[in-house]
Amino acid sequence: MRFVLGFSDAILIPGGFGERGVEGMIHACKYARLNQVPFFGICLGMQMAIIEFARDVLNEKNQTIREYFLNTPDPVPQVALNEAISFASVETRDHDSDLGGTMRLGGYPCKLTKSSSAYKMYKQNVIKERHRHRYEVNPAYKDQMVEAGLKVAGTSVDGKLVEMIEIPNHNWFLACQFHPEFTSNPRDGHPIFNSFIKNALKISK
Amino acid sequence: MTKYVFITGGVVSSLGKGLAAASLGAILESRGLSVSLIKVDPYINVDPGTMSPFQHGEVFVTNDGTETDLDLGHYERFVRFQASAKNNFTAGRVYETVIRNERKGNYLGGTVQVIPHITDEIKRRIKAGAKGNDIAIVEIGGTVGDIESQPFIEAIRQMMLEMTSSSWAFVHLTLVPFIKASGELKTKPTQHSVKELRSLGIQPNILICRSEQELPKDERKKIALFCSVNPTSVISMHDVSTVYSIPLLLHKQKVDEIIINKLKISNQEKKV
Repeated sequence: MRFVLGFSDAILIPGGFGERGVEGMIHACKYARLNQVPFFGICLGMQMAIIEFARDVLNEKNQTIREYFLNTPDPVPQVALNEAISFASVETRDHDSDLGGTMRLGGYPCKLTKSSSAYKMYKQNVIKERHRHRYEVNPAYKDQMVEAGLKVAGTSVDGKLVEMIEIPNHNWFLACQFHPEFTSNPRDGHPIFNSFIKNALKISK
Repeated sequence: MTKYVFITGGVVSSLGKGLAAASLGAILESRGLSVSLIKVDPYINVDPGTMSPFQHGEVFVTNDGTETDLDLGHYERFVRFQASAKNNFTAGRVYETVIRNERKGNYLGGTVQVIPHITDEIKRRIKAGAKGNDIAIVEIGGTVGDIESQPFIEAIRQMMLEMTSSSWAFVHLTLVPFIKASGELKTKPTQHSVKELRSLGIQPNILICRSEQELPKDERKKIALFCSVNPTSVISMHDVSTVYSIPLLLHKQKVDEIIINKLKISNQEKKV
């Protein structure tokens, strides 16, 4: 891993679909987490960080991505990701489910945890960011992960859905389920990107 | 009443029509005008949500949860406006609506046709997206001459007929390639694509020419003569190091002024 990623000042895993490259991304998450490399996960990137954390810290070796299971003949019973939740109503997906227009889409409010670094970036209690995803962090695993050291930095307003996570005592490790790039523009920038890049620059020096 | 700037493209796609539209929006907005931008996509997908980013680029998600074309991303990042479901629609969406209306019996037994039913639905959607703004910039995806885009070109031609000439302006984007072997800039593809557009009943008012280097005066004159536009309305949009410098590039060539004059909008305060 050091041979492949040793040159990097920061690692960002953007959104994506399907199983391709997933195992490599999980390795990258682990490398970033253990080596104090600034890490920013967006959408799939957050799910990778969660799965890596579950595998390595919670010792759930069989954690992998749910989308991957749909194409596997013999799905592993433990899953880190919940059944697809479209705005908190559970929807079961199978091979025949429509792919078009079936995601959680658009701007939703997210409540930030006061003690999080995300709160320091936004300086707001509730932010609004845009989503585009089918899968969520399984709420059933939330307490276990928090006990093991993961910080939930942001949730849906009802507190049910995990929207942002952080690893405390790390240079910069943050992941979000939403897509901050949609509201980032050259005039205003974006609180998370600004902070992430500032930090990466500091470390590269 | 909202005035319209229609943007079409010729020769090839991926010329940066979306960036041209967004840049135009940015400079018109900085003159104190309220601007809406609409992207019309002639493909049959109902929305771009299922399209591969390798083929189609970013799927941009608006605040109201619509999966839209990547050009909406340019619009929101260049112009201070928030897009919604009204700012992007595809041929698939238009056909879906018309077919649903037909099944409901809304056409009262009439034969449902491209003209007027599809074109009427296109016009209805464009007007809905434009409503309440000084200027609506309407970008027609694809290239003039494509089978898919014909109903859309026809719809904007009809809109032109329904309004006074100070209510619309047509901007056409073309490619002026540089042939290395002979060291020449070629205007013929531009001539042909304008000819195609004119054969569909639309005479462009402004030509924005994409090229590697800035378009020299002689080429501008030649294009103006062959395409029946004013030489000052032949605009050079050559390659630049960052896309965010395009609004200034267009402003320097007075594109905003040409449009404002064409639309007979009393001159707004300039804060470009």
